[in-house]
Amino acid sequence: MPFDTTTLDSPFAALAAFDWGADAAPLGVIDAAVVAAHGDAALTADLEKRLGAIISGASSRAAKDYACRKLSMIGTAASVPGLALLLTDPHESHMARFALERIPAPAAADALRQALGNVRGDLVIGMISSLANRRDAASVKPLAALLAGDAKIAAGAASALGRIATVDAAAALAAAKVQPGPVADAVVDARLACADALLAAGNRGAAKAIYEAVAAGIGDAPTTRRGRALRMAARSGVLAALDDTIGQAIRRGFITAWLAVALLVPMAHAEVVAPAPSATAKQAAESVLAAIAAGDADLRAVALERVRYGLHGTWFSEALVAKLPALDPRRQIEVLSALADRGDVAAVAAATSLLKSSGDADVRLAAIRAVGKLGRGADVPALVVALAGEGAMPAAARRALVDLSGPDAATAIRKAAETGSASSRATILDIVAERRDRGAVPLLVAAAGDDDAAIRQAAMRGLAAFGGPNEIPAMVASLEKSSGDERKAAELAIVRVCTSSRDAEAAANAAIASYEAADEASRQVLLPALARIGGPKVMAMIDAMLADPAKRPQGLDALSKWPDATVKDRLLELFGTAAEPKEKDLLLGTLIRIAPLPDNKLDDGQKLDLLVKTMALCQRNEDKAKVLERANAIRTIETFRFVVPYVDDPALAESACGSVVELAHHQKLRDAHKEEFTAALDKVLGITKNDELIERATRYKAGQTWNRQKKS
Amino acid sequence: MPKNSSPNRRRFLAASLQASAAAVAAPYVITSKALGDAVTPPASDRIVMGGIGMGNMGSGDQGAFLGRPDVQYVAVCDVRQKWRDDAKGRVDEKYGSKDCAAYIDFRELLARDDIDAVHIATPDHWHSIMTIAACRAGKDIYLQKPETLTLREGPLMIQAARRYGRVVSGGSQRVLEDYRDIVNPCWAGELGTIKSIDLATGPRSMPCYLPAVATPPDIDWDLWLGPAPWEPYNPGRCDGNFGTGGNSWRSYIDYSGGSLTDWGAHNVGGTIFAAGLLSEQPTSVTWHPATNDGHEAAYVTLVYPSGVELHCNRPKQLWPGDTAATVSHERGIVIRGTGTSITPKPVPSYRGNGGIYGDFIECVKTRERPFRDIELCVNTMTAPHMVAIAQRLERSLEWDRSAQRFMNDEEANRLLDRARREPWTL
Repeated sequence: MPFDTTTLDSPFAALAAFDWGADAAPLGVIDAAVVAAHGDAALTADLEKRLGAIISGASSRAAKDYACRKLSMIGTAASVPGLALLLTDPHESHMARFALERIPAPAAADALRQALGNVRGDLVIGMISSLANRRDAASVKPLAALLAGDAKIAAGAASALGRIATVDAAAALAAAKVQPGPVADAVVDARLACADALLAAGNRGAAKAIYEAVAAGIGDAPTTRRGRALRMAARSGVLAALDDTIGQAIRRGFITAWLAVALLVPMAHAEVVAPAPSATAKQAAESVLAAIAAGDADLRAVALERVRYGLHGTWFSEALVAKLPALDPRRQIEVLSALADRGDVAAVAAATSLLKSSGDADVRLAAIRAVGKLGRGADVPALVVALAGEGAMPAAARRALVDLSGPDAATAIRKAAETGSASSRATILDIVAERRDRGAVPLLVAAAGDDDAAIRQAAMRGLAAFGGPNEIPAMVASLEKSSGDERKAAELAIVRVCTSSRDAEAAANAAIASYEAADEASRQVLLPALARIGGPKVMAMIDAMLADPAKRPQGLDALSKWPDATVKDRLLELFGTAAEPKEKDLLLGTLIRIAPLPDNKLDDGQKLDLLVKTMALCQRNEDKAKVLERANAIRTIETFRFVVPYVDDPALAESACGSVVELAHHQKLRDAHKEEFTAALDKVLGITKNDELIERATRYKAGQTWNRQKKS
Repeated sequence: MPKNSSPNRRRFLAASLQASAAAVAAPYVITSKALGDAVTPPASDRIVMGGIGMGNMGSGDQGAFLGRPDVQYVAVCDVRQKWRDDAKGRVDEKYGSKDCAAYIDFRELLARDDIDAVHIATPDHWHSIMTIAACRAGKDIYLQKPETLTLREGPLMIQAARRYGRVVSGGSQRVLEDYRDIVNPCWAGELGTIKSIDLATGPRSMPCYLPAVATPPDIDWDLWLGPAPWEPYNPGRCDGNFGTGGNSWRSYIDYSGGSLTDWGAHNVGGTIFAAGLLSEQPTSVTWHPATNDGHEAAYVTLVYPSGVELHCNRPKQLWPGDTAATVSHERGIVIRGTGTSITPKPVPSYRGNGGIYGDFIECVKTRERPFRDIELCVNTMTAPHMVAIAQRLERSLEWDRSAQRFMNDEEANRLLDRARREPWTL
């Protein structure tokens, strides 16, 4: 059904009278019509005509701004004359360009080009910018003519030629006679841009000539940061022009040759099949090797970038590796790092050799990293030895073992976890866990029952990360073998598997089955973990204990560990009947803990309701303070209003201030109740002595945010 | 005495480029601190930094860099006086001096030859121009996310970084830090080959029609707008920090991509990092319109070269049933795989110490590419930008990565970029 264009009459009438601040609803109708115009020539033409009337009429700047934006989406050559008339108007010129830059019709570029001679000052730069964005090759000549004029415009013209980056543009820039200064700077940047474009198009010779010319112009000892960056760009370009290995390589992925050439896409882990290097590639290699050994830090950085991401093929890795022993230790470190990123396993033997033989600790550290990135299973023993090293060595070796890839690496690391000292085995088991090596589960299960506590704990950490129902019996056995802090950690490991793993429910059932099969002593050990897991079966066990006076304390202790607020009514009931102060304390603490838990068991209103009830049960200020501190997890205005009055209670002021500030941290909540929050924050600032709260309150009052520092 | 930009910025270009053509050393008083001590490296080993855009995120970034013993912080820049003064005050307080320079015009800061690196946290419409200018000036850059406002900017920023050999890090610390729940199992190969992802994304930005309000004297409104279209001052245009519902610059299309790119930089970044897609860009974006009965809202699907489908805001009733090979994240992300375990890969870590900031500083020293190298950021941002364009046009599109254009859709290609207000150019 054709679009009924009469429905646009009213919106366009509104647009004709539109200004900033007016009702924008009618514009939404036009927006929708513009979208609907895709593929509808009649509607497009109708809209274009109406929008054209706006830009040529007496409408406000806002209306014309809007019309230009819409014409930028659907405008054709038909709109060009009307838009071109706006190019000379300092208020409208930009938005006219907004449309013309996007309209693909050649007439749009013609209009922009023609305007070059009709405008002055910054408006010229605007035209230049749009012609550059259009990559308008026909603009090369007029832009080149501007290189000799006003400095600001000439600099803009040079930049534009760099964006257009045709052979003609490059030639115009090369021929430009400019004095040192802003224009010369822009010309250099533009020449580099042209060279990059030529290189990407495969024109290596022309690109190299430009890079070399720029390098010669900069000289060997630029004294400014910018000069150094230009020198690096030029030298890097020469290497890129010589390095034809990227185009020859076969790689995985979607990156095409020109992108790789232009952007030095990482080749690490790609399947590189490179034929023997060409003469130019060898020339590039020689330059890189020379720069690496030399004292020029900038050229060395350029060379190392090429090592990382260019000169593909084992032939170069081997050539570089052959130079390694003779290099100064600082250079060895740099090269090892670059080889690690390069990803060619041909370098690993050299890295291992330096790891074992270098007298420089930093070199050995760099070698460890390289072995970690490049090594295989056969390199595990050397890294395991380094785990017992000094200084930064153990941490580096640990990281390297985590990074080591390849199927045989996992096998070798598992094997290393079965031998050696207890401390070494424990460390390697942690590495196995960090690698999330599921093939190591049997190893972890066996280690969970080891006689050595450190090994057991490491195994349990691993099983916590990716154990499942089948591992529960072994984890329970480990729990029973443990004591003190180890037991607490073991308990949490079991809880994690039974609540967060992919087969959590099955794991929980396995834990309950272990409990049911256990003797009384073992049950007492396992009960806290089960309580943290929760669920109806565990609740039934706890209920039975609570009904038995001899087991009541155990049942209450278990209940105090319950993971969610579904037990709130039970807790309130028990509190009401509890005779012992210790029991009351335990129940009160549990109520405070579970009320604001971030699960979906209670909605915010219910959470707050529970906290309010709990507050009424508190006799001691320390308990009331805990209620106030927990309250800020319920991010509602009602919670805020619950907390605020306690700011006036000297005994509870700091806790209340903390929660007011914490609630104020949440911008949506704060902005929705600005006056209340401002008043409360003023109060906080008058009361608190805590520097962090003062800083935060001040920022929130000013509408700013505050970045939490992550705990290290 | 804070340095302010000259009254007539039209003469700036000549002055600034004179400065860059010769060695310009800002005054630096050699104090005993210059020699360093057990904790603080000597001045010669410290990275000299400045900050551009000192509002919310900028002041946070400043705090991170200012707190490092291997950074010497010397200059701040903001078009708003209060942000500028506060930022300078924090530096002066830290060092017990009044030496921190304060600029309105970022070009003056970039012209300083003593500054090694800058952090940029302006609104998004400035990111590309400032990054490229900083690269040309030989600076390394820590750039807040979202790193780009349009699709065309990204490749130009990457080119500048590579051309001038600069370290350019994007600023999403969350990509490595916040998404471990999905990163770890994916990289461990537990899901097998990743097949599909469901991700919640926020709305894109919208036009701004706020009325004119008298421009206060403490903001350089023309410079705040910069390359964006001229529109009258209104605090709702430029205030509000993280608001994307119409009360801050993040809401508006001339300055931001909205929550789609703002939180998208984190969520999309974390998701494609988990799924191993960081080096890729989508090949297509499919528009699924809302159903006529209103039961299914509109959504968008991106497809990557490996075949992974990333659904943005797909209605839950269209999700496949949960499989064993699924992981999810509390921020509305679900990743599904084949379930057949594959070889695990080690999850990368930051270089140096101090999170993403330390990674940047370490790379400034070693000249390696940082964890959030600009190329990876650009790949990340390609996804939400493509989503925005598909949403605006309400149709499906195909993307040619090598040409950095949409295939066979001239209207979509019009939206790759936008004309910048003179005298600003990319």
